Amino acid sequence: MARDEPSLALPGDVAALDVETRRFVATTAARRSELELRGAAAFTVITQALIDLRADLRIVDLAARAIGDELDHSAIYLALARAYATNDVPAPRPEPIEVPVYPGVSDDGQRLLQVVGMCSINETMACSFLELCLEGATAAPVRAGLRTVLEDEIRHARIGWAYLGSPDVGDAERRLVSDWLRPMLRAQWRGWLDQMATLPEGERIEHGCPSAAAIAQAARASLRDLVLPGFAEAGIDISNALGWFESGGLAS
Amino acid sequence: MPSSASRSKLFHTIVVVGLSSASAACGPKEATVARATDAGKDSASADAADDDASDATPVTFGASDAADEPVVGIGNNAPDAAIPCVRDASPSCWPIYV
Repeated sequence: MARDEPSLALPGDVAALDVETRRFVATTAARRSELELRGAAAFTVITQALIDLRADLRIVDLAARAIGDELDHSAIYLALARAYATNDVPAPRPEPIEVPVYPGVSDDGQRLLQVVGMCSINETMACSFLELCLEGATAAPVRAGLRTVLEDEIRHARIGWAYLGSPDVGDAERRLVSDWLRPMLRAQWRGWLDQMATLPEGERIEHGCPSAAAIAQAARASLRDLVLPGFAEAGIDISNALGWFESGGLAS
Repeated sequence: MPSSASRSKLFHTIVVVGLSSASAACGPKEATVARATDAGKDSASADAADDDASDATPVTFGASDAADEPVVGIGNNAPDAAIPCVRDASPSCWPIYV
């Protein structure tokens, strides 16, 4: 059975918006609706990885719930897209995703890097993006939707940090993360750049759609203020990754 | 852009809480979102949310021990060629929601 689409109170002033704004917001929301389904696919991988790692049940539980959360996010964005659209917006369908592979790393090492890459890095960066969107949004239904998504993404990011702080992660695991931190950040940053390059020009800040430049700035700040200090807090040697960051690695 | 104070709150909400306690990571959504979204805007509510989190009984995962342990850096100063490379095939990253 399909998940229920949240009922968003359609603000009366949406109809009064210019057509370009309505299309911009609807297109952006529809795009995010599709992307959130990929997040659900990613968390099926992460949940399995945590099970295979025999992680603390509470962490596994968070990951399993994240699959449903991401489906809910997709529904939230779809509802927003339909509220703003001037034409029909079809519901996206889930698709398989390609999972990052770390050559030469053991099976358990792969699983650890998957959890770290998806949760500690990607979901933490996503929180920063959502914080930016929420800060500028004034439209009530948009703010409500963004708040729900943000609160879930915070929990999803914590999955990675909680696992890193668990007794299952010792010196060897921390060294592995340290060795791979720089290439993982580089790959994820390239992904963000590729993704931002496909954004439509312009912004509709009050409707939760900041510009690509603002998103890039927030993403950079998330690496500097959240991700890198987070790994340091977790006892991971970040000197290599920090060198990449400070030497202008974000330019490529 | 979000303020540095807001970013600091977000760091605590995500990283510090996540590292130190799985029970806090499973805590009430209301506290989570309040701390994330009110940080830097409404110190009273943010502080109240902090109190909520600190009131929870955390189950530690040894984070404090881990942070104190010396970590042997491998390849910290290695040239790029020696650094393992994530496959370049696209996509080589996790799904991005932007």
